[in-house]
Amino acid sequence: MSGKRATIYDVATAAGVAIKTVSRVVNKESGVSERTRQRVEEVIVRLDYRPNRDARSLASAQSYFLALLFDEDQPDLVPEVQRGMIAACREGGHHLIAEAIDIRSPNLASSVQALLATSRPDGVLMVPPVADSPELLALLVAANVRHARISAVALPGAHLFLPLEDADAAAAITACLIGNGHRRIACIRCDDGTQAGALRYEGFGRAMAAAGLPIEYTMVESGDGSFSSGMLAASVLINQPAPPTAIFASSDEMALGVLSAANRMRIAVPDQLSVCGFGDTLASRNVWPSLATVGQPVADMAQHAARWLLRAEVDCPSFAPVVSARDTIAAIRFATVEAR
Amino acid sequence: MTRDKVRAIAAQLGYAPNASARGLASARSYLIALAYDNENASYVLQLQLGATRRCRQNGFHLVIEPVPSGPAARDTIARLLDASRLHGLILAPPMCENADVLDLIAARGLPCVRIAPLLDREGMAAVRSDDRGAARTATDYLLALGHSAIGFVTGPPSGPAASLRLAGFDDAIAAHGKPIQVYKAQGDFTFRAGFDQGMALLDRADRPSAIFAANDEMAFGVIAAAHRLRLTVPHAVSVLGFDDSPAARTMFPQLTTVRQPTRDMAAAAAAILLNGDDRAVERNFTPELVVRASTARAPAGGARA
Repeated sequence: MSGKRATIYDVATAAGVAIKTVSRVVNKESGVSERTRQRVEEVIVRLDYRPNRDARSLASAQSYFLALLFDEDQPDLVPEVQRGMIAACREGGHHLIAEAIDIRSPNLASSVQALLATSRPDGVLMVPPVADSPELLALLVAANVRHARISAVALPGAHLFLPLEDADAAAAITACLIGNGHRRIACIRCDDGTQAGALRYEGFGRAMAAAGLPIEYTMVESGDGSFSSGMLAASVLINQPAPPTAIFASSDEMALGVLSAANRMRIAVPDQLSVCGFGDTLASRNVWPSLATVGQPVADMAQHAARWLLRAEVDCPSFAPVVSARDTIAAIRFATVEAR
Repeated sequence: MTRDKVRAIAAQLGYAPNASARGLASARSYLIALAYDNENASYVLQLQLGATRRCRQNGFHLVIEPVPSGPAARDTIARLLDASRLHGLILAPPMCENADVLDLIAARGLPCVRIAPLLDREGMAAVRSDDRGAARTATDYLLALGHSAIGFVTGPPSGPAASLRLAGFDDAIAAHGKPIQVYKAQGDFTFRAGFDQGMALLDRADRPSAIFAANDEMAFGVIAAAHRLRLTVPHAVSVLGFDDSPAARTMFPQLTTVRQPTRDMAAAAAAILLNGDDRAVERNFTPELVVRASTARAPAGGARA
């Protein structure tokens, strides 16, 4: 860096034109002759003049920021979502504001209002559980801020809704267990007060029904999504006269709790018990045996949503859940041995 | 009096100042940026959570800027600075050592705080943690449990954290009265490297009775290798990590590790920028040992249980 940065005045003086002419060239407006335009552009390159984005954004009413709203206590999806948003931001010279909020805070609405007022993001993306707050949605609609939601739950009035197909995803991973010959399949529901938990149980039930398998009440336990609740539920499920051969835990953390409980009870996974989770979190890859799970292509979804927020031309693809079978599912071999 | 009147009218009209316009007028914005070239998504997320929480107290917001490693970093940072009038910048490791980036920031006169830098830089604030001292404390703990054959899986040789943690391990071994059999293995902070080196260290007759991995992800890999070799953790082999990532509590067994005050460090970095005292300020944190279930006394009869 040598000396001061060139200003619009320096460019105007060097090119022998009015400031307004430089501005017209920079903003690609009409009313400038081709010769003048070329001369101004040469000077811009020579002086390394870079128009101030603050001034430009005032004029064009664009801030060149997108914002991501997420809950600071439930950031599982956040790294992947950010990866997708950043990719879209880079396409158009935008930057990303990561706004971690406390969904339980009584000042939630005013803090988001302050964000909108001071940073004026060109668009806002929300992920669960923030995305499922009707209060925040109403606030964004009222403020007329372009916004998108990634969520398992539909809410009326949102500008763009990219559905997380939790029921389909749960059905897909349950079908994977059934395909491996399992019949006594237990489910640990996620009763964390969100609709997503109910959707996952619905998907489990759908896959079982499609295979003509009954859901026995001894095969269903509840957890709150946490590791310890998964451990507890697993010990109840395993410690019964006819334990399940497979457990679908409707969050990865609970599934890791199941692995831990099985390990403690000296039950070999997957030889004696198959286990699968939900969410495809980082932790599911960092255990041995690596956890079978099902995820959603959230990075792609976030990139799509960010492009849409930036008003790029985008068609709306559908995003299918991705089953990662990994190492905690084994086929039932004895199940096929039947009396002839 | 006038101030109150203006405030009342502003409230009545629903007027809120625009960050960009405010930035123009006062040469300040309500934005702080966090720039990083760190591959560890969980670490970066902890930095974000610490910084945003502190920013929120002052009505500030956090811009996140992933940056490519190496020479291209400078251009990405330059574009960020051109595009937004930032109040200040937080640089995560290992990018906080990039001289080109530091020169650029110094030339622009932008307030900046470096997280966990190895080398000092004149006039730039830094937030550090004593990784070396903490690694020494953790190694002392293994020695106190009676382990006399100990493996250490290192981080990537280029990173500052990796070299400090290895140095702390060496400090403890050197200061210990009795001779210790030491096995060092080259890792790179990934689960895969921990698994591979765990297999290499444990699948041998004279295996160590304890392994200290320079981060949690590698420690998870070592535990996976032990499971695969049917060695129970911690009775056949103790495993110790470094970070205390959220997954340390959802492992079997729960991981004994060193708690990195990552969130607190990021919050301290934000606070330095918000307080406007960024010149040559230094904040130091001490990571603490968190004893959980993956470490135990050395098996009787030495390492070969």
